[in-house]
Amino acid sequence: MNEVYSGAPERLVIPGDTIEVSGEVTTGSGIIKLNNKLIATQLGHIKENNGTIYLEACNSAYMPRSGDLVIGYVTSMRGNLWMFDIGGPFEALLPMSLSPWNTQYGDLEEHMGVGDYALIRVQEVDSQQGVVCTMKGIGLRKIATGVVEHIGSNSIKLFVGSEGKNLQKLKKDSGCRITVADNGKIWIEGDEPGILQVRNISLEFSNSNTPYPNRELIKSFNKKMEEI
Amino acid sequence: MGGYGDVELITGEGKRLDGRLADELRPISIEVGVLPAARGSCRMTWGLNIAEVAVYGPMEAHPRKIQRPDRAVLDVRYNMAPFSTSDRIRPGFNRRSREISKVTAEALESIVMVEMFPRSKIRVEIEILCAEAGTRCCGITAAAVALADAGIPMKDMLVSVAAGKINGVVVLDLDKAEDNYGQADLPVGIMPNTEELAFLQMDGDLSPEEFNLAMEYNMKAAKEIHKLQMDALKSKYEGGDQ
Repeated sequence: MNEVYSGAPERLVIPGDTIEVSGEVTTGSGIIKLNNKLIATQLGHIKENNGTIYLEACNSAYMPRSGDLVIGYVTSMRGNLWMFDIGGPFEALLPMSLSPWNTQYGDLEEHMGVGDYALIRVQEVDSQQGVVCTMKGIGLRKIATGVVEHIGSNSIKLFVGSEGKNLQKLKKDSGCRITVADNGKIWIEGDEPGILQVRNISLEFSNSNTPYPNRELIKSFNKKMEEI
Repeated sequence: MGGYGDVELITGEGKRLDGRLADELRPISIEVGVLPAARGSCRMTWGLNIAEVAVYGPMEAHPRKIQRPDRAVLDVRYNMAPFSTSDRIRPGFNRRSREISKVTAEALESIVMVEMFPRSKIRVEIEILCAEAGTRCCGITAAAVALADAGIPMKDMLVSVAAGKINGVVVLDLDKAEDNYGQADLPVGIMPNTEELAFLQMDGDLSPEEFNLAMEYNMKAAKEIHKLQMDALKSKYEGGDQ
């Protein structure tokens, strides 16, 4: 049995590994209690924060959660709602009542059509994984300018950097407005040289041969950030 | 099992045709993250067997009639490439590949936490590029690694391994000649941490004593293979901490 001791430096675990803890801890995401043992359910690092032990997965699919800021594109429309691809297992709905426009039934295409991108927020995820989004809120809008790039939800932490340092540096140097969405998409707005500079960095992620930041990617990303 | 022929598969000193002892495995290597388009992937070589596994999802299950309101469905497709054996295999599904796909899906359902993804589908594609004997064991073991690589939540890993009987002797991990001319084959799927069984099949006859010995060999081999699975997964990610 593979054992991981809480309190020790964070360790890499694989599904089925037993996590030994000293004292009482609360279990967080990625850990289950089975036969009075704490078991890791994903490949990732075990971390502890304020008495809660949790697993930070190395690679996981994007699963929408209520409150997530996401960038999606319209895949289809009904009479009173838009269907969005936000990169989750299911398409998300944006009812016309949650859009910022005063739309009439059947007139949705006046504002957004198939293929249009928008910055929206996940309002609700039900037990059947049905996702309802809203476009009512500060900054939420249809994306009509700039570029949308995909970096992957597993790469956000690296892209943003500790306390947002990487993102701030990139924004300052390129002069672009960069919005990082929780579903691994980024929206870059600014002049052409600035956009190209940010794309040069984001392409590191989209051209990567793994859906998560591997060693080579981290090394090459850090090198590029240092060069800025 | 080709039958009880008079082919001598084991020598007087207990050595097999390829020089292995009764409880020895063929050489195994596992590589993780080999297919860039897949969410998780694995290439496994086990003796002369080569299996590549790709995992996609969770995604919306189509057609809708296969959706389950309380859990995900595992859509497993096991396929042998036409060039995987010396006799060309006709491309497409056949009775054997359907059976192995079903057995694999049921075995993987024992470890994957399907209840976390209602109405979804997790696609597991197992492609056998080179076949010797024991391709289902190779495919299932590689599928468990690919699922872990894809970040699919699981209660445990899964290792599949087979023991069998040749010339009246119980041996571990049959090769092609042993599979063709042996007397019995016992492939199992073992969850290495809990030592629970996810599946068990048996072809041929084993006495209770022989069965116990075969299971003992399988259990011991599962631990060895689990270590290789761990090493492959960890070597891919270690040092990659953000």
